[in-house]
Amino acid sequence: MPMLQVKDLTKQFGGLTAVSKVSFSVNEGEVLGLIGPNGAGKTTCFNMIAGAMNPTKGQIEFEGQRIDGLQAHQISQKGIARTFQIVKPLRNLSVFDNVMIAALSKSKDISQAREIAQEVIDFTGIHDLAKKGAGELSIGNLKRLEVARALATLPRLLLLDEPMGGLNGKEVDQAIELILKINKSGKTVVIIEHIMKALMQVSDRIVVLAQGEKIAEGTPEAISKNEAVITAYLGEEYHAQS
Amino acid sequence: MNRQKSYIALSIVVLLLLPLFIKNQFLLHMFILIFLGVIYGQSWNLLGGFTGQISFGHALFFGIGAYGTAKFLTSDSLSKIGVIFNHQADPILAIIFGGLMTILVTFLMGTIIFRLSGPYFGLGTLAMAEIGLVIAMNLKSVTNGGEGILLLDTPSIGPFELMGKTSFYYLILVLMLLTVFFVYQIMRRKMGYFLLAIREDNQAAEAMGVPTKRYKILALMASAFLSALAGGFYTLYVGFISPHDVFSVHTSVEMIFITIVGGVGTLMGPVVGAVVLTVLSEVFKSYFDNAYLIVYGLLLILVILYMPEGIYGYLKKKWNARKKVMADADVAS
Amino acid sequence: MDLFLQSLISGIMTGGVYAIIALGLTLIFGVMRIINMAHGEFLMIGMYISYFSYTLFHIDPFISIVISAPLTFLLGVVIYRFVVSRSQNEENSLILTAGLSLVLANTALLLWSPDYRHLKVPYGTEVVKLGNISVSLPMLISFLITIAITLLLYWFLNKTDLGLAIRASAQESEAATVMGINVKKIAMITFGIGAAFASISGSLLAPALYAYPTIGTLFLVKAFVVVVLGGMGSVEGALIGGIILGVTESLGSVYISTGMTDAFGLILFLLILLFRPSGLFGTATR
Ligand SMILES: Nc1ncnc2c1ncn2[C@@H]1O[C@H](COP(=O)(O)OP(=O)(O)OP(=O)(O)O)[C@@H](O)[C@H]1O
Ligand SMILES: [Mg+2]
Repeated sequence: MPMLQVKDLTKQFGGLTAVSKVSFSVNEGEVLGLIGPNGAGKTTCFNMIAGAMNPTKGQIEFEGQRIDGLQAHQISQKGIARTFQIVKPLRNLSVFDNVMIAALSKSKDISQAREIAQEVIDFTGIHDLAKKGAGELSIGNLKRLEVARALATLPRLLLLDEPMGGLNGKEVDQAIELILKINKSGKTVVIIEHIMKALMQVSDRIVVLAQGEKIAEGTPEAISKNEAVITAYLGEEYHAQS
Repeated sequence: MNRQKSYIALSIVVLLLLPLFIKNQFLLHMFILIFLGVIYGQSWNLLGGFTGQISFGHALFFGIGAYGTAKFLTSDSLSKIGVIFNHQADPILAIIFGGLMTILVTFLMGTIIFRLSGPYFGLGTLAMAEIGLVIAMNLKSVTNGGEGILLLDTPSIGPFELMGKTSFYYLILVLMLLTVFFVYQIMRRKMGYFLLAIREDNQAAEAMGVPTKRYKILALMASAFLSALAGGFYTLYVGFISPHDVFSVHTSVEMIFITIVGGVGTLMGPVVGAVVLTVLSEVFKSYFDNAYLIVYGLLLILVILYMPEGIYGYLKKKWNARKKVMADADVAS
Repeated sequence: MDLFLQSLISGIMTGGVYAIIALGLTLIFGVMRIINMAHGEFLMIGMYISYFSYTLFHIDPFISIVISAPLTFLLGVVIYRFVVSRSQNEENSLILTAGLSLVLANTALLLWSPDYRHLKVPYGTEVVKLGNISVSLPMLISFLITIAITLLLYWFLNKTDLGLAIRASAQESEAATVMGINVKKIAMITFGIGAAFASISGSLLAPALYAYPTIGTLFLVKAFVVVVLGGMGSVEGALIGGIILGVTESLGSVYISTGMTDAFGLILFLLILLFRPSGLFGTATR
């Protein structure tokens, strides 16, 4: 049985159908890439899985349980964490406190949360930043903080929304390394990313959305040769330059 | 850290001994107002400063606390509860009764009011307080309408009569210390961190597993309870309440001002704010009568524009910067 | 039946004045996303200007609009330029304008004492008969002025460059910037217009109500109700909302009690805020 199963997921905003009858599943232990041109509905999918929005129609099952319609904090308790494409740091708090608060909801007290936070901070390599205010970070570090905070909620499934957007070449390499490391530590990952080369490198499988619909699914090699995918990206600025 | 603790202990001792040396009634009255102001500020700050939910309706909680207290002391059936413990209605129980009433109201209110956020939350709470005012004016059987409620008997706690400024000084001092301690305890626990997360970014807090709505309601209840304590004390101290006295927008605004001027989102901010604003307004009152509020308003505007972190926040920043400079100088020498 | 018609009509007329107050508030909110807590004080200032124009110079209150509107416009512009525009965010500007409200109200208290002042025009008690229904003359005049001013605003917003620019920045301040509109200047002018509208309504109310320094709060709350009824930032909404509030109050005070009518208005306000934040007629969500 897959870890996460999404069936006929649909989201409408007024007259606009942002996601239309999308189905896919995520197996335990894999890294699934989710790609598609701008406005394809990727973030909206994440929002529904993570409980930030209710689906208009469709089902979401996690580890055999229906989770659609639950609130975001309940989903977090179930073991799913997400990062935000547009980063949402707690600006007036330190990096350490950002991570620690994420750990708090799963710990019995502050000292346990501190321990988890320290581990996650070491794991993600943001040691030097721990005392800094989250509002002072560069975009690259903010993206890493997003990942660290998600990890601190001790998830089994991690949803990463463009964790490499805005990073420079060296930072992208570090991010790839980190994602592989997270995956190796036993966590399942779904990642949205526009940087194709990076995505190909980390994903076991890829799902492609365009204009709200799923148009393809398969291994990275198969996807890169898929006619429908290439057509969907035509006319759009191709992001695979890096 | 320990030095800080001993400073705090020292100030408490000084405050406890103060009435032995101060015989000037006006000065005692000033201190009472300052302590009351500290509770105002702590109460509002818990929800507005730490949780980021800017309320314009805290007068509602102040008012319910005030009326709850007055009703407890004056109604026959209620005050009997007090008499069990005492020879007459107990003012402490009365204040607690007012606080519990407020908690009940906020529990019901919390489930809907947090549909609103930002300035809309401000408007919604303002409307709720106005509704409270209208109800207090019209529900004559309970509130005695616009005529208000007058306390006839001098309340006493055990053998101590609440008469004269000194006894009120000690009552409000204890209430204030408890309030500050209460807020301090909340803020160093899980709940405090969750409230900060909610203030900084509600959606991020949710994603981090924080049940934001539940904690906002908790913060509202705690904050309202503190306002109710202040309201209860007001009833005892003044001995008379009317709807326009206790449910007025003015009370809500004063709570905001104390916090913002002192330093929003800090434990010491409301303390500083209460001292500065109370002293200033008492001084200016003697010159301008009621129009002293001009100074209040002007100070608020200046603080928001030129030191948005408040007087305490500003001083702390300066102090830290100086310490850093001195430390650097140490290293250099 | 006559009683009903009578109170309906007087409700509509009062509602017209409410609409004018709310128009100012809603324009400011639309363009700057600022909820101006000092709005009621501009109304109070308008009332005093009319009062003193009449008692000192025998200028009719309805004519004194010509004085009060430009003066408060200037005051609004200055206050916006030197105070409001410098605040850092929504919450701060909310509290900032609350401070401003306190300053203005208490300056009035200092200058003019807390006394209630009544502007008594000679035709104050005259009534106009329309069939079986009688309407007080000052009220009728003020309603006609209300209509004229609303039409003027409509023309201004739809036909002049400045008005169109204001509408553009109300709808989408980013788009307005792209279109080369000076958003800051527009905001300043809008704040002035908002203040002027509040003061005009103050002048209109002067023959009917007592003026006192803290009267602003009362009308601030009413203006909030109207604006929320009609949808924050909507001009048409403010008109309809004003009429609804006026009629509700007027019918309520006849058929229920006056005190409770206030509560109904507020409860309605709260319900709409909670469940229809875009107003009764709005479609957009916030
Ligand atoms: N809260 C919302 N309200 C209305 N429309 C929305 C909302 N969120 C997203 N949309 C619309 O839904 C569509 C899908 O948006 P979504 O953010 O899911 O795309 P995406 O695939 O993540 O794009 P990108 O690569 O640019 O991040 C877009 O047309 C967007 O404008
Ligand atoms: Mg996206």
